[in-house]
Amino acid sequence: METVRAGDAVADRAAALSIRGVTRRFGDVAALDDVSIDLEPGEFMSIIGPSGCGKSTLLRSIAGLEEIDAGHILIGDRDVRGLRPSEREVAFVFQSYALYPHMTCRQNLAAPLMMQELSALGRAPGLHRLSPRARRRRADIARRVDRIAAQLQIETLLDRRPLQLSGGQRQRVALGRALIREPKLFLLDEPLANLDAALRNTTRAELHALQRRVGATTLFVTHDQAEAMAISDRIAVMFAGRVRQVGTPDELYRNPVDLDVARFLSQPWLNRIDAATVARRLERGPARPVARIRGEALRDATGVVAFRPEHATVHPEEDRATPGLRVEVERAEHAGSDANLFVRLRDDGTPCVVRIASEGIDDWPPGRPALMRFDMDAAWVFPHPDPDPDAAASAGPAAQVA
Amino acid sequence: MSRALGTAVLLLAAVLVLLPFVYMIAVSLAPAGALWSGSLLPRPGLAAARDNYAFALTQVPLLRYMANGAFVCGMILLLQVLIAAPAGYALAKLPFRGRGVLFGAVILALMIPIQVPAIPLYVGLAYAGLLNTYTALILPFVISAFAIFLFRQFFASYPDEVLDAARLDGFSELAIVWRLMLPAAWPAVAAFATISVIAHWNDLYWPLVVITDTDMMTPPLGLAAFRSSGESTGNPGALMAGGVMVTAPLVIGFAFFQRHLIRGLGIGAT
Repeated sequence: METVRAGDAVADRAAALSIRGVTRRFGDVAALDDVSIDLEPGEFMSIIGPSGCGKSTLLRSIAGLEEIDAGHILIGDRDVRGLRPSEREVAFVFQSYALYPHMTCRQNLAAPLMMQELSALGRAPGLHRLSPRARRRRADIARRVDRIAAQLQIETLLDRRPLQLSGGQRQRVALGRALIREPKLFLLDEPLANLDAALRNTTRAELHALQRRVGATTLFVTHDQAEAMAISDRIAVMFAGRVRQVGTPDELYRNPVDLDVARFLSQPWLNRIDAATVARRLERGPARPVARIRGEALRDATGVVAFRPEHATVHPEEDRATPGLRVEVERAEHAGSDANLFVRLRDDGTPCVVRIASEGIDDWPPGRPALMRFDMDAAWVFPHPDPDPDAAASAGPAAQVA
Repeated sequence: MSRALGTAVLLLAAVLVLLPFVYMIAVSLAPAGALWSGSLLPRPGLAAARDNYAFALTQVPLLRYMANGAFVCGMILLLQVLIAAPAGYALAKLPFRGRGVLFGAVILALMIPIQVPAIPLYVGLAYAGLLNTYTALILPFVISAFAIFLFRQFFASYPDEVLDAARLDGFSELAIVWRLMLPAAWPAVAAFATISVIAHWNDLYWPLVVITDTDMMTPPLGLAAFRSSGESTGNPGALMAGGVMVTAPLVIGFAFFQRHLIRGLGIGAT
C-alpha cells in the first residue's frame, strides 16, 4: 500500500471545478438537465446513478468530448466551454482503458507529452536528432515516463503492447497515461468496472491513495454505490439527467432526499411499505402505542415507509411483546457474514428484505411465518412515487438482485 | 471422392494459369529455331538465353520502362493512400451532414471502370498539354474509390474511446489518421498496395491512351511497342525475355505479400 506523503505532488495544480447549469439535449431527451455541481480543489467526488442517467455524458462534457447546449464549466477560474479537449488540462481514464493498441506501454505513456510538448519535427522518428532542443525534450519525456512507471510499478511492462497485458495492468498503464500530464482535474469513467472483484477492491484502495498523494481534483463516475461510498469525499446522485442530491457518503446514507436516492443506496433492496398498513399493524395490542417515525406520528402520514434491510429484524411469530409486521419467509440468500432474508408482508404481499446473521439462516425456512420489526429512527416516510418506467424495471427484490 | 474431384479441377486450373508462364520462360531461354523443332517445350540453351536477354535489354530501353513503371506505380499508391486515409477516416468516424450520401457516392464510384470517363479525361489532359507526361499517367488514379471504401470499413471498427483519448492527449484529427488509424490498418494498406501496384504495373489501356513518347512508356506499353516495331520479328526469344523481366518484379513481390493480401481483404470483408 502506498503511503500518503504530504506535499510531494501537484496539489498546487489541483483546480476547483464548477459546473453551472449545464444542459445537453439529444433530440427531445435532456441527457443533462440544468446540472450544477461544485468541487473544491483536491476533492474526490463520485457521480452515481442508474445507466443512462447522464453521468458519463457529464464527464465527457467536462472533458470537451461532448458539446453542451447551455451552461458553463469552470476549471480553476477558466471557462473551458469551447476549448478543445487537449486545452482543458484534464485527464480522462476510460472504462475500456483506451490504450493505443499498436504502441508499447512506453509509447502509450509518452504519447500525451509527445503530442503536446514536441513540434512535428521533434516527433518525427530520427529527425529529432537534428535539433538539440527536441533531443533534450525527448530525454526529459523519457525520464518522466520512467518516473511514472516506477510510481505505478509497471516498469517491467513498458516494452509490451496493451494486448499482452492483463486487465489490471492495462488499467495501471491507463492511469499512468492520465497522471503523466499532471492534470488539474481527473475524470474517471468507471475505471474499475472491467476488473474482477478481488482486483477491484485493491485497485480501489490504491486509486484512493494515489489521488490523496497526487492531490488532483477528481470526478469519478460509477454505477456501484458501494465503490462510491468507500472512496469519495462527496457523492452526487443523478437520475434522468438531473442531480438529485450531493453530499458526503454519510449524509446520503442517513438522509436521502427522496425515494430514488434512498433506493439507489440500499443493498440489495430498499423496503417500502404503505404508511397506512404500517400504522395499522404497529398500533395494535393492548398498549396501542403510537407509531412514530423520527418523531412524526405515522397515522397522519400518507406515502411510503422506507427502511433498509440492515435496519430490520425478524422474530418468531409467538414473540408478541412488541408489535411487528406479519410476514412469511420466501427464501434466504447468503452474502458472506450476513444473509438476506426475503419475506412477504401477509397483509398485501409487499416484498421486503431483512439482513440477518448468516448463522441464523437455518432458522428461517421458506414458508415460515414471522414478525418483522424495524428501527423507526432509521426509516423515512416519502411521498408515493409517481409511476415511472424506472420503478417498473425493479418491481421486486428478486428482480433487483438478479 | 468429391475431394479428389475438387483437387483435380484445381490442378487443371493451376496448369492452365501456369502454362503460359512456363512457356514464356522456356521460349526466352531457347534459340529462335528451337521453337519450330516440334517438341512442346523448346530445349533451352545457355548462349541463346544470354543473347535473348541481351537483345531485349539493348534493343529497347527496357530498364527505362521499368523505372517509369516503378515511379508511376509508387506515386499512384502514395497519393491514393494520402487521399483515401483521411477520406476513409471522415466517412467512418466524423459525424457530418451528408455523410451517408457521400459514402453512397463512393460505392457508386466503385462500379465505374476507367473506360467510362476515358474520353473526357483524355480531352482534358490534352487541353492542359499534359499528354506524354507522368502526370497524365498518375492523375486519373489518385482518388481511388476502392481505397476509400476499404479504409472506411477498416477504420469503422476502431474503438471510439481510443479516439477520445487521443483527442485529450492532443492528437489533431490528421495525427489520429497517420499515427493511430493507418498503423492499425496496415493489413488493409498492404492488401490495397498489392492490388494497386499490380493493376497499374500491368495496365496497358491507359498508357496506350495518353503516351506515345518512347521515353515515357511503361513496361506493358513498351513491350507492345517492341513487338509491333518489327525489332522482335523472327526473335520471339527476345520478346519473351522482355516479358519475363517485366513480370518478375510483380511475381516476386506478390510471393512476399500474398499472405497480407488475403488477410487484409478477409478483414475488410467482414
